Amino acid sequence: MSSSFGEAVGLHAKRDSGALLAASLVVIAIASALLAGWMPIAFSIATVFLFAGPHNWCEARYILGRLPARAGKLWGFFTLSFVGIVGLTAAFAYIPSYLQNTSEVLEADTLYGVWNSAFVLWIATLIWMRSRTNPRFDGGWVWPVAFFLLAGIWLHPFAFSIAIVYLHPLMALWLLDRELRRSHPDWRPAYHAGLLVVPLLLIVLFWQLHDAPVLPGDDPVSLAIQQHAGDWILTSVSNHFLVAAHTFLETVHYGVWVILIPLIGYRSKPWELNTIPAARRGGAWRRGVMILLLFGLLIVAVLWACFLMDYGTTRYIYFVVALLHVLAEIPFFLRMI
Amino acid sequence: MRYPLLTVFAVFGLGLVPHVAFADLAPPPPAAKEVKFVVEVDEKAKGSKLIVPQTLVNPRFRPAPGGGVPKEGNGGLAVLEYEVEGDAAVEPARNRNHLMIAGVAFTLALGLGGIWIVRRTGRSGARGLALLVAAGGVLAVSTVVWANAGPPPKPKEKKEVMLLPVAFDGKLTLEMVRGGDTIKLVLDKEAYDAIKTGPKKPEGK
Repeated sequence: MSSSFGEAVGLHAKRDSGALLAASLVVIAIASALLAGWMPIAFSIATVFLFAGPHNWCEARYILGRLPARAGKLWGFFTLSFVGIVGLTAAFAYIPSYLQNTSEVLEADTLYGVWNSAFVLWIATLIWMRSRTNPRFDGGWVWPVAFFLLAGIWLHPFAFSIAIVYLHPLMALWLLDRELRRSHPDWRPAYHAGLLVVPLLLIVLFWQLHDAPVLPGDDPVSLAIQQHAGDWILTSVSNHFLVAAHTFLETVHYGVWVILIPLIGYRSKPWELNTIPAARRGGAWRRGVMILLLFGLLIVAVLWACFLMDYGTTRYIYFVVALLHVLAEIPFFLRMI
Repeated sequence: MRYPLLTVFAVFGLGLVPHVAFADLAPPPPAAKEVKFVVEVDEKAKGSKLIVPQTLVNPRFRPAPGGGVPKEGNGGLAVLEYEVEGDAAVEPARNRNHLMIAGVAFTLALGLGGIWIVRRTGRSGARGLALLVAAGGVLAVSTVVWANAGPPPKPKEKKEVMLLPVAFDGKLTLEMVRGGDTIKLVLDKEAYDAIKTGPKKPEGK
């Protein structure tokens, strides 16, 4: 009797924790949507300044805690992941300087088409490799889907780039779901219910702002933010909505990485290295992990200083280099399936 | 695992909807709206000009070539590449190689999708094959539908044209500026004097 009572109390507590997680997500989302809709440019500037660096550090800390200490049979998968992450980021960073060269041979749309194609084929290969390791799944659908996407890329090369800008924030929500499946499966129903607030708020933003006047900012930073949201390609809706929607999604994903995942997925305090498999190998590995995390903190501080000195340039450089973490999430996510 | 394929079909189909919607009809012109209007007289001006704030005409700006933050010009304003809207805008020529690559990729997608579905055993494989054939059929039919004729001619409306007196008849410069919410008509001395003399009778045919 007491055992079943204990189980009932435990189940109730688990459900409460799930509801608390969902409520936290809803609060973050509503606050983000309100601020992003009300003053999109200022909120975008503030949110990138505050969270761009810390969320990368939190993400790196989380990934370190989940990566195996030894690659073993997954050596090929991790090698291809690393080559793709570094290679694609380097190529992406090189494209603007190539385009500024007067002797350029390829146009911007061709270059981004090639980059996007390489990106899709890289992901397809990783999924294919993943499908052939335990737990296995039928990965035969990967290539038709990849070539469908390739067809779309070459019809509208820039549309795919804009799609990545809007879809990347959703990866954090997906990764949180994978983490819950692993560590707190009882929380998932509440979390899934809480997730509904994201599309609902996007609909509200669209309803309120789709025909709002053009954003008034004429300075380089405001225009860079508008262009990042794709207002030069998505001309049928107000750029007020585009910037608000992008800032809203970015802020929700910052909230997931900086607040929710550290509370749920670290399994220890961030500075405790015992839950990081690589650090548990001891010796140089432990020191290496510690140096990496401290170096990450230094980068966060440097990023804040650079934002204060020249926000526009730092933001531009950040979003080019930040592609590294966007790409790193993909193989990591695949290992969590 | 048929859901990813279904999803791609759905997304691809939705992506084509706008093309269908605007296949042969131009998008509707924006609705008329009231804006502030000021007439100013500048006796030192070399010519009359009409100044229109960019926010009233919703122009598009392409990112600076090579990306990055736009350069800062006079008064902290960004220096941008301006893209003309409406009839004056010229659709950039599409790279035909891109279309060819897209076609090859699409063919490969259909071919590989078919192989994957056929190789799968059991009922789900047959259902998938039926789905692929149906989707292929829909896409094939839709291409025929797009090879369409022009829109049906609109019935001609007989409108009585009322000729109004002309207050000013001449040339002016059209300037698009950033910021502001008022359309300004700046008149030079000659234009101002012409207006002061009173409107001319319309020249009817």
